Amino acid sequence: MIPFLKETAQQLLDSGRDLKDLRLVLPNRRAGLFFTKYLGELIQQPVWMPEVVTIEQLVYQLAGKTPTDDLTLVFELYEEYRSLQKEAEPFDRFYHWGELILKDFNDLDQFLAPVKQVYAHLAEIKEFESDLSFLTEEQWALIAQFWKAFERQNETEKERFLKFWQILGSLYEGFQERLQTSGKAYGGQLYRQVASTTETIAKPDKQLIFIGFNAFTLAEEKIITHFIAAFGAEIFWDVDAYYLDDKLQEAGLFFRDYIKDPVLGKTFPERIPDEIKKKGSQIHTHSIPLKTNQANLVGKLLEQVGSNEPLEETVIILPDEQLLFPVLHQLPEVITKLNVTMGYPMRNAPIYAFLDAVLDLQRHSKLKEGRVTFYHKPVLDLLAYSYLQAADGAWASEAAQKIQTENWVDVPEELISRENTLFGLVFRKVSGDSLIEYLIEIIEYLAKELQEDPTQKSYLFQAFKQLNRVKEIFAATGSKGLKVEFLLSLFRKLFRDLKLPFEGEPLQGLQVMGVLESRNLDFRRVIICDVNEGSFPPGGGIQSMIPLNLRKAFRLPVQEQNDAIYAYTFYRLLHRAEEVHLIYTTAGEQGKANEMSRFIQQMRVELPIAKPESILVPVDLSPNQPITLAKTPAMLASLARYFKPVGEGEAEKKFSASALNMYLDCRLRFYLRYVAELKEKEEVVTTIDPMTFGTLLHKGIELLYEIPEGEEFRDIDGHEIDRLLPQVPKAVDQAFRELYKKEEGEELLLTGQLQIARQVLTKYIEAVLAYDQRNGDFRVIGLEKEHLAHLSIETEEGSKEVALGGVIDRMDIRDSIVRLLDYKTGKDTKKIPSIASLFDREDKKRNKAAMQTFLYAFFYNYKHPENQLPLKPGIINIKEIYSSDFNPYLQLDNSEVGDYREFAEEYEQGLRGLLEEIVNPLVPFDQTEDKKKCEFCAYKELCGR
Amino acid sequence: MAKPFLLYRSSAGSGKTYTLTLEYLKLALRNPQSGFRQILAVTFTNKATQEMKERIVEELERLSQGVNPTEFLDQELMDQLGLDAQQLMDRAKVTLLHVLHGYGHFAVSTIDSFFQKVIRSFAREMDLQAKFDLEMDTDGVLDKLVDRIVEKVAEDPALRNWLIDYAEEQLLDGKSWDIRVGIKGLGKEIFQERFKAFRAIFQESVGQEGFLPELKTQISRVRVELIAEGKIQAQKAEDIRVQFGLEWTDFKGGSRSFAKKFGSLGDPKMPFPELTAIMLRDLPEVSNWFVNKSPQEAAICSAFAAGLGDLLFSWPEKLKVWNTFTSLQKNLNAFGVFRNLLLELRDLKDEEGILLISDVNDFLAEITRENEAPFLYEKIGNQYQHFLIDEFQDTSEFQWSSFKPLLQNSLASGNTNLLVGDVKQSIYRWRGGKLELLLSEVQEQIHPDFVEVKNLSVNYRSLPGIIAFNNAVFQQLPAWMERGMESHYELDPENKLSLAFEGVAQEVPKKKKDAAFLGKIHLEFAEKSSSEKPQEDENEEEEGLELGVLEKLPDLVMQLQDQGYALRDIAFLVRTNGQGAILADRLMEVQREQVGTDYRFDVLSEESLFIDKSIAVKCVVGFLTYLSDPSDRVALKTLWQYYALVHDISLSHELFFVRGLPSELQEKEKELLARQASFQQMPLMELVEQGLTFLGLTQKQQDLSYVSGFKEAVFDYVKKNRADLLGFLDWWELNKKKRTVKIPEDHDSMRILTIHKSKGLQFKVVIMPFLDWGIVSSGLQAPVLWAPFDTETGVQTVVPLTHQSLLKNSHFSGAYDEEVRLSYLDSLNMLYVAFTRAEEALFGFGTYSISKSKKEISPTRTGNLLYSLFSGGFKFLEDSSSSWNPDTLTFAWGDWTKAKKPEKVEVSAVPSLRWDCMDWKSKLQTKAYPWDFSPEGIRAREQRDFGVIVHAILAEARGWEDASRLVKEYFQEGRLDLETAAQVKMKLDQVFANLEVRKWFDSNFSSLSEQGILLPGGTQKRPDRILIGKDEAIVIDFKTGIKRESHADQVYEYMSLVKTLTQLPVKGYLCYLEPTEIIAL
Ligand code: SF4
Repeated sequence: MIPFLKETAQQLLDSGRDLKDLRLVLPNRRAGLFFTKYLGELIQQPVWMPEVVTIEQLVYQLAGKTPTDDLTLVFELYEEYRSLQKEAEPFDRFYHWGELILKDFNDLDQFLAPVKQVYAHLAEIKEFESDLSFLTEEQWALIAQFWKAFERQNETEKERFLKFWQILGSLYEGFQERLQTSGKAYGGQLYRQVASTTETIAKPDKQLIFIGFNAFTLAEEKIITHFIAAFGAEIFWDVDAYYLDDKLQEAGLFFRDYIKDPVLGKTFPERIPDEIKKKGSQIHTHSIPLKTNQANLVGKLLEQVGSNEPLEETVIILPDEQLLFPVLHQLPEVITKLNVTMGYPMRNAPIYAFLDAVLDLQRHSKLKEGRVTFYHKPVLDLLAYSYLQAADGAWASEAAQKIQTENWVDVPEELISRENTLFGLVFRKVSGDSLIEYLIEIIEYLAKELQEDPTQKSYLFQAFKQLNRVKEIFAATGSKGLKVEFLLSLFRKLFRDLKLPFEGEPLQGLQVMGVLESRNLDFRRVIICDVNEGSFPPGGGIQSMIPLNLRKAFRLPVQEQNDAIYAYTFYRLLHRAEEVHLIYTTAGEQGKANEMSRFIQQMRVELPIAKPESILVPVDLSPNQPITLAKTPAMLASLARYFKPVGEGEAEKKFSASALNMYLDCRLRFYLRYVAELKEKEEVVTTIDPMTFGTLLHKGIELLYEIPEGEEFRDIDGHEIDRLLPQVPKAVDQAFRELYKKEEGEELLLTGQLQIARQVLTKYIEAVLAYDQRNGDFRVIGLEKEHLAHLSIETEEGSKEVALGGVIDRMDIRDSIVRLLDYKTGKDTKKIPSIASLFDREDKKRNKAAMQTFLYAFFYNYKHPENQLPLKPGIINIKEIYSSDFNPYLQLDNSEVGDYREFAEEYEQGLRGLLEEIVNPLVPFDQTEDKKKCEFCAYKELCGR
Repeated sequence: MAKPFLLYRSSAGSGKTYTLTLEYLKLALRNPQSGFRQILAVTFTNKATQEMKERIVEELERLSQGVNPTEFLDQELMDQLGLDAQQLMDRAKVTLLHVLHGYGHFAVSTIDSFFQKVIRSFAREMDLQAKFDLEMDTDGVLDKLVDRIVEKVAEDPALRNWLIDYAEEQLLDGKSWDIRVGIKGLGKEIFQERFKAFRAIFQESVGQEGFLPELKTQISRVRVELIAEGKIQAQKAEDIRVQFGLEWTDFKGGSRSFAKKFGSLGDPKMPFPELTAIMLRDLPEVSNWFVNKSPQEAAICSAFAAGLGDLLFSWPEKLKVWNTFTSLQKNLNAFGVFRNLLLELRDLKDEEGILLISDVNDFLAEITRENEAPFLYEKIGNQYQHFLIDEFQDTSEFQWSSFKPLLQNSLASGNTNLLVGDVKQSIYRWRGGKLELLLSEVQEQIHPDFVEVKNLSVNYRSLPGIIAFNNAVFQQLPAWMERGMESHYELDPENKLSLAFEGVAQEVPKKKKDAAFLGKIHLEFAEKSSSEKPQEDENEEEEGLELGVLEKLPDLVMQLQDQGYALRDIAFLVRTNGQGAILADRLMEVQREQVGTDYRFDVLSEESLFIDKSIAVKCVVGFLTYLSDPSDRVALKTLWQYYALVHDISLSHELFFVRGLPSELQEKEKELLARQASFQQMPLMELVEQGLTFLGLTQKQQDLSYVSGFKEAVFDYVKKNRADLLGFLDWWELNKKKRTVKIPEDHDSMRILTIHKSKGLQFKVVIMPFLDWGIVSSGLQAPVLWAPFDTETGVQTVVPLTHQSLLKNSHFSGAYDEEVRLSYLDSLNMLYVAFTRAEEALFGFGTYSISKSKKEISPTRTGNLLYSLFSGGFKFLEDSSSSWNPDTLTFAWGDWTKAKKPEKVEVSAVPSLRWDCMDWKSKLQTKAYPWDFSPEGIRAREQRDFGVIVHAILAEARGWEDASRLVKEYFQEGRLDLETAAQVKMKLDQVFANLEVRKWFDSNFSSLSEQGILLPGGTQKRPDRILIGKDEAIVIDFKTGIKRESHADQVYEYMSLVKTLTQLPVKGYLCYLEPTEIIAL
């Protein structure tokens, strides 16, 4: 295979001209590099290299100016816009519109359109009729048609459109002037300037040779034609008969015009190569399910690359930059070197995520009374980032831990910041004016830290450059005192669209590039991914403020031209290739159907090419397996910790009510929690789970009914409750304080959720108090008191004393009845069909709360064998407490449980049976059958439920 | 003359795509070059779009290769266009090529994508942002909104109080006090058309200061008053009763007397008792208050006259008010934050630059309402003259109102337009689909002179027996359902179902009439014990209780295989994804149990086979979760548990024990700990790749589709979001139940599909295992209805009502009834879609229940209705007797013909793909720049070493001016800040201050510096400057840093090269920059 550029080099060499007297003009720099490389391969003697420039360079040289960067231009445009438009939107909102307008201006200039007339209203356009004599009838018709349609619009709609439209004309004028005075320029402007003064171009000292062009803008066409006509410049076209012969083939849209041009036409070669028609058999198409699967296929295809084959003869074209990393990951070993030439979206880079989070932090920072605080959410987000983790993981975790356990809603700077570290750099409050400086400092710091990671550094460098730019622009335009929100939103906009140019050493290794980067280059083996409609060619259409028909009328490019350019880019890759793989996917984003590219369809009809080979990814599945663990000696030993040792001493562990309930719900869950000792993960701050809610509730009531130090009990009557009621809110706050370890007097900041929780708790506790008040005096004999009891069971190794324990929420005596009360915040009911049902795991409505309160009674009974009073277990539950006929006592088969002692035997028997099963070596730990139980289980992921 | 507006009613299997294709071609071929550009064909889904496009291109391809006059399509085209075969062929060829090369104008698209195009071209006028992303995930947006609102509680006391009240109320109802769930439940409505239709009046009213609190007060006041009134009535009634010495049991009915209702007056849950229809009929007659010859007759009459009668008859009206206000109360709290939601949504959209997919229709409706069609076409740059709209029954009101002006514009110019749809297959009402449009409204809105309705009545899909059966079922079922509605809901069905199913009977195509095998039908029922409170456990019941059928399916599947059906011929249609999952689990279990036999039970379902079912995927997710928080032991153990499963390591106590680990895993965990930090620093996609390798999943190549699907999820996530691990895991938690593996079309396994997804598909054998469902949704599934309401202060507003029986007897009964009717129609349509998917055989399993209290089969469930239909002597062919077997509760018809050999399924060899992951970083070279972030760059930057930059500039510059330009360029790129640029400039000035140096940039010489020297083989030599004068040449090289021998050598080499090339004497200089020192060589 001889690449086009090499062939051209050969022709130039053959022509015997002195290379140093040539100036070669190519569409882009990369083409120039390849050209020189090929030239080197062809010469026998050292030679002067010819001068190689891009077309832009040429034009800008002629104009004696280079364009200003886009960001500055949009800024300038905005300034001008503001002077024209009262109540202009803020810059960040204008930004994308500005880009669009700028693009339109560029087009207008590049295509030498009469701007005044374009932006004129119909009435005005008539006046210009004589100026527009160059318009063809067809073009006139389009313009007339547009305005005719417009006339039929109603007044408001007309106004809506004109409101902006009319400004654009003046904006263009004003913008030109503004740039003029400040010495700035945009690309199109320079093109127009050169194109409209071609007669003043001096004869160049070197001969110009244009190589590999396809589509010129009108300005380009004019300039180049001038060079050819006036100075004998030459053009080398990379063209194929496929384009010229087939009038429909969009790839030849421009060529077919040029070849008819009196000047350009002569520059076409006598014999037009006819290669594409022969390529049918070398083109393989593959359909594959998912986008990322393409990488797997590319990897496979590359495995066939011979080890002594030059890698640079293979190219992978990625229309979607996003696919870059998947492809890189799947490259086979034979690829020893590679070169990536494409833009990669900044928003995918980890550094973007980090900077974005940093901006979030600043947005939610506060300065109150000289004290800087940050909202907890962005802080926690940031602390989880690898950058801070890498800087000091221990500190990061510690800080995160602290914020969570102490529930810092607004985190004070001192808590997280540390001087001379990244923490100090990130966690400080900056004003709008120094925000950029702040980001730059962070980037510079990171650049130093990440020494060994060249890709990351490459990102950082690009981000750094961009920020520097922005900084200077702000400085130059004197934008001071900008609001942080505004800057943030602007940064996001800027960064979101930013592409990081991945630049490698272009001449070596496997070539990976974007579509446009491939221009003029030829490769022996071509692999193109995403050959789908919407990717290649890309869809989306032309974005412009100028209505499409007006664009057409004034010969500005529309979708047709875009398509033509992409079509040429596509087909050109086939000219000299010997092996082509086109890959398209059948599933697009979000599982939508994806369509193969029109190019494949065209070739199927016209070349033809073989049917696509569809590649399937096997859909086999290894399903999850049930988990059943037979008890091993180690597990039994672990369980033996619940036995009271023979003789002296206490058991190491004791079963709680929740452990027993858990066992009844799911043996495996019990195992994981108590035998494997896997603690469930700590919860986060902003939300409040039922557990925490319960803790707060208990604490609040305990604070109110507290038994004074040294006393055994406390009597509470109606008056006492009258006194206590106003204290409820304080008690709740105190409960919050204790939970989140806040000192008395320290401000208690609660998130929205917690504020609601606090109110709800207050009301709930008030309702409890009201209930107590209604039902007469009582004597509190214990609050949140720890209990311990033993129950003897039979095991294989004889009888054992099992330790049981727990905290009884409240014990009191009323009307000579000992009440054992439990507070509940859930849906619990008080109904029990039978004692046995408490231990029946098959019972879907097994009353866990009752099982627990019974256990309390068991504890009490165990501890106070001397007691003669009835023991009455009860549940105070939030759902019912508000109703006037609230009754906390358990209902066994529709009659109230008046005294635990009546049921003690039966209950203990059930309990014994349960405990015996738990330690029975023959009963394995297995998963519950009732998947409802899994819904709130912490081991759900582990179980795969 | 043919009417220009064609309305095709296309029943199931009637070749709708074929018809559409034909109509499309008729229009397109009229003008073979550009005809297609003026047609917009609109389909419902992306998939349909693609199929339609493929179909058209295929037909064109076929026609352009040869026209076959015996083909209906070909003949029809020739007739219509007045062409002979050759001419048609030529035209087709021309059109084909024009389509393929003008593909952008080949406008077959979904409604959404067409609409988006329009919206983009009106973005400025609609005050949208110039760049917006289309956001599909409205659930995600809602989550964000609700969180944001709750956080605002701190700043907004009114909101706080409102939410606290709400939270309390939730608690009283025994629900979680976490109000976010409730807000989200109703909040979904802000994205729905049924709410949006009322948005203006909503904003108008709710925007008024104090409106909501007033409404709230009104509601609670009215209710309190009614309770009080009930209590007063109770007292009155009691007084009267006592006055006349009566007991309530003295009245007719005794212990179950209606009179006991007087006792329940004033009940705070329902202060006025409900009277049955019979009571309302009988009780005005006082003689019905007592049994004949009752000794209390006189007393009762007196009591009646004393006011009992009046009291009683005041109830219905009072109850109605009570129900009205009670139903208003239900959603009031969530409704109270609706406005906040809307405002917050506006901010969110603005901040994130998004346009919600659900907004597309509103915007478009507005655009087409305000703008004239011609201008719209000008803006989008495309003039459509013909519209072909498919699946019209699923079009929403907004969508229709967007299309209408365009259609009217086209019709006015005499162009042909076409709507295709089938009211009977409208099952997307919950997404806004409005079948009334197709049923009647369109015809009312478009002038009848234009409209021509055509029926596609031949069924090409099913065997004659199946067609006949479905004809009979769906001719009878609508009436059964309507009667059921009437009796159970006491409403007028308005013939809604009958109308929709008018003309349901389909014809058998001639070719098939005499087929040997006419099809097979088997429907089987089982009685289900009716639960006491069917309403409450609705969900449980939907998915769980009909499991008995699962035991029958394996046999059926084997039988079908014996009959020669391939697995891919068989489809199970279910109603919910949950049912699908249960079914899939069961069949996979059977598959495992059946090893050793020839029978297979492979089953796949897009919905039920979620990516996260794979243990390999679970393993990576565990890995990622662990890395996001290494203190999470559960995640670590989760990781190991799946790792063990994948690698056949047996599960053991050591594995789960928090301080243990089986010996096989100890090395692995060490490695994990060692690499933890580096893992945590990787970009997300890289981390996943590395994770797969680390976990040995890549090597195992297990669950490839699933793992790929997971990678794709990461890929999609990264594309749209900030790519951090925590964010991803949160997202995954929400999305894992949405992502499924993609199944190749011809994969040989049985399919499980929801009826919704089965639309448009067909299978040889269709099995419907769960034919029983509740028709009118209740409980959590109950839909929200929006109804206008006037407050007592006369403000018009709109309120959200949950559909519940309370509404039946309230001021909102109209809305209630309509919802019931439409729900019935939904279910009927669903049955229709399900039954008509079958080509050859149809199996259904349903349950029914007889209510304990009434001893009747309630028409509220499809199972009950179907059972009644089939057990009630159903017949469908003249000659056949009823095929109902009352013992087995089975309806069966048709016999298998002799078993065919199963067609050999071609298992295409799977070309292997590469799954290993390589470390590519070492192989990539990145380009270096002065002062970049490479170690050298950073060093230079820190030491403010300008030399490298100055050097780089001198090497590139043509002269002093050019050097200044380059400094500016560096600055503009952002590589240098202003200060540094100034310093570099100064440095350069210093260098240029040197006369010698200045001379080098003099124009007396021609400079060749950019060009350099090329050596054979491609090596390039680039001295910083080469000057060629008339009789001498000069070579200069600038250097930074310390002097080296090699520097001079290099220049000597240059000199000799230049000498050969120029044949001139050559001088050479080395110029050190810091400090400037020139060495002549
Ligand atoms: S997920 Fe279910 S089966 Fe697994 S431990 Fe939890 S409750 Fe038991």
